[in-house]
Amino acid sequence: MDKLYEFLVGPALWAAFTLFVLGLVVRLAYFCGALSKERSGFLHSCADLKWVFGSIIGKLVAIKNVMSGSQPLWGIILFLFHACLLGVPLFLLAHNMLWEEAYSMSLPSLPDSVCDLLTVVFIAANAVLLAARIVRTELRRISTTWDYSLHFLTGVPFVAGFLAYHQIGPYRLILILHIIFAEILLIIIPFSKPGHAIHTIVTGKLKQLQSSY
Amino acid sequence: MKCTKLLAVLMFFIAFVPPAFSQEPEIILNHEEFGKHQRPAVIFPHEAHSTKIDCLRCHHDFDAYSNNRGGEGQQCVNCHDVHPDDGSLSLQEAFHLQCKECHETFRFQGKSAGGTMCGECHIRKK
Repeated sequence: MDKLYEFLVGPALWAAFTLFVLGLVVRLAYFCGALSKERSGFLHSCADLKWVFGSIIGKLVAIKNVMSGSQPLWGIILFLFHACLLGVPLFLLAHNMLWEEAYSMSLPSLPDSVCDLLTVVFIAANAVLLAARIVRTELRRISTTWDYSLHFLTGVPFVAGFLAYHQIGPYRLILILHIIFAEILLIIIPFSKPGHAIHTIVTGKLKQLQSSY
Repeated sequence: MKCTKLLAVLMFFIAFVPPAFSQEPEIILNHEEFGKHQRPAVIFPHEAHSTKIDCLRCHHDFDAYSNNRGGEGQQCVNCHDVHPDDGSLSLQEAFHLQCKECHETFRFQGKSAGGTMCGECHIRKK
């Protein structure tokens, strides 16, 4: 198990990060291609990078806007899901310690107790979203097997991380599962939801433009 | 009478001298310098280490030419600050590097060694 751990935090992590970055670049290239003047003059005229990043940050930060929507509770759950999905791994002390030890640089860290709470929030939000996907007819109709798989794939690293932090169960096995599933998640992220996010941003902007005409 | 005095001196030495030179079997690394600990304090089996590796490996004191002059008896905290201003290793880095690098090397060689994962050293009380 030592060799497996060494492999997972060494070459496998590098491979996962490389695929993650390459995947994002490919995704962005397709996105830019779709927005090229030749293919879609209208899309090109209404999407600019400043607006795109502004929209992403705005969606993450501006809980006020989310709450003022037609389904505020749903908006809050979605916001918590995405904020915790990004925030906990990035600002977890243990992760930043490993970055610091390996590359002498890291992001600021949240206290462990805060991350622990946010992990529980994420797991709960994930469970609620999954339940809604099963229970609500309009969501069930548009849900695919891949959508259900994503709930599982995003949930496992957090559940395993929570169990490892509290040292419940076989520690080494759980930590290794945590790393394996987190690396799988890193690899599939560019090929799944960011595409959906980009789609939402562009269509959101189109709607905004349509309403202004 | 003389025999009794001799016996008393002998008893004194037997009772007090060995403990004075003996090493603590375990040291709890709960340094106050860290403030509130984020993870459970590490229980360091000092005696188990002192029988296996050279004391100077941990109780080191490097001169300007990286020669280890030895700092036996010194603790990590005597030289490594929690937040050093001069870019040197912090106390936490000193602990982590000293422990993990050695453990990783031993484990890589297929030998038994202490933990390399967080929870193997920062163990929660059940």
